[in-house]
Amino acid sequence: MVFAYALYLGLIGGSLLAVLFGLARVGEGFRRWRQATALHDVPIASLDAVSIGEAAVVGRLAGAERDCAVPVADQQCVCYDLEVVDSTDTLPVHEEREAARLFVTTDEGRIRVDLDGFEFDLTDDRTGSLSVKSYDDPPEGAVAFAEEHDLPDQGMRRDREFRYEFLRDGDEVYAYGTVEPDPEREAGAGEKGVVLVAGDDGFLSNKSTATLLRERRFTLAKSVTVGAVVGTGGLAAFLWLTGIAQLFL
Amino acid sequence: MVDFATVVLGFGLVVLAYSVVKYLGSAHNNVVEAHERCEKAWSDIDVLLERRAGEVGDLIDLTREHVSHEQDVLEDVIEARERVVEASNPDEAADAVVALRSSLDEVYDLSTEYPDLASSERFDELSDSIRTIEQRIENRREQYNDAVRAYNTRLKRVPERFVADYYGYTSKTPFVASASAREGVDVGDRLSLSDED
Repeated sequence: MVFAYALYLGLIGGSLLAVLFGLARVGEGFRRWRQATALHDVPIASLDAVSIGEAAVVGRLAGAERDCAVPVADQQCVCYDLEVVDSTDTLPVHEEREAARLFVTTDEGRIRVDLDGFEFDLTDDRTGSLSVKSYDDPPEGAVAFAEEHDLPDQGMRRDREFRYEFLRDGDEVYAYGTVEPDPEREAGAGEKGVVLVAGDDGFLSNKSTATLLRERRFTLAKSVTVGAVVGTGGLAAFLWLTGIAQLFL
Repeated sequence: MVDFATVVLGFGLVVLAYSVVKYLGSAHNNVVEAHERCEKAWSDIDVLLERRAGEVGDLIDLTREHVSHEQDVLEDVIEARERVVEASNPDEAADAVVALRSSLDEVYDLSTEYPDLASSERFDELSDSIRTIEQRIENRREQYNDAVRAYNTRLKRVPERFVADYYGYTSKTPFVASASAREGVDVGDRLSLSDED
């Protein structure tokens, strides 16, 4: 009986999530479509002639300080993005981004990039994950990380996954964002005192622009179709399961 | 009373209608933004053209101090500089830039004939500054042309094409010198004229 109630509530929750997923998928489609528009329309700026405002730059990533390393993974990098997801929680229990002082450089010059707010779209060799089941002995690094960041105890029911993305010194990147005057400009550095920030829709990728455009082809049509179908199906299931639908019959 | 199917299908239709309206709105924004990118890219070039005109003005004054009798060359530079300053669109600017570059080459050539001019520190500074600005103009010209290419492509796409027709957006011309501007410059003739003087 208890199982039946749990299943019933689970189905209602699942149907409601389907509605939210459908709406989110439509929003995601528009977001990816805006990225495709930026990739197509915003010219690649030459780094010795970059001007204030919206800009796209392509060049090698270079960290001005020592490299950092991805926690829980043996990966040296100049920046990383890490999230810890527990099977018992919908939202990540921990998120962090670490970056050295970064520049995108070309033969013409360089520009500092402030990674706060940038969305990453990285190739498979720059992403990874570490799964720790509740019954596993967690690796030493995972234990130390959990203690350092005061993560909830896994116990015997909480599976944990560390998902990370990172970039290495010298990686060729495409970055789209907004160029602003750099408040950290070094006096006498002999370069333009500007910084590339994320702005509203900033994203950074180590894929080629052709690949990024190919991945975003028909993305809006696909997302809206999937979103509408899943959302409508979810709503139908929710109304039926909660008994609201029967009021209409 | 509204039945169940109507409610569910109505939800799906609302999602689709929202998507279509937002898509059309975004199409309009895309045209406007592409147009603004062209305007901004052009204004970036315009700023550099003005800066170069200022540096060229200083270079003319300096050259006049040393070789005041080379009136033909100086008048050419002054005239070309004025054309650049007065240029109000990429077409005019492109032709004027070619003429100015040619005239400046003649001034640089004069420095080989007049050691006083060549040894002037200020002459070196101005020459370097003008060359740096020209390189930046060249880079921004490429960006402007990329922006114009993207804008013109967008005007040919559906639904942006209908939006552009409705709001009166027309295609733009890239910043390239016309063939007549290039053919019209004969540096060799001018130099031989100055040799005769």
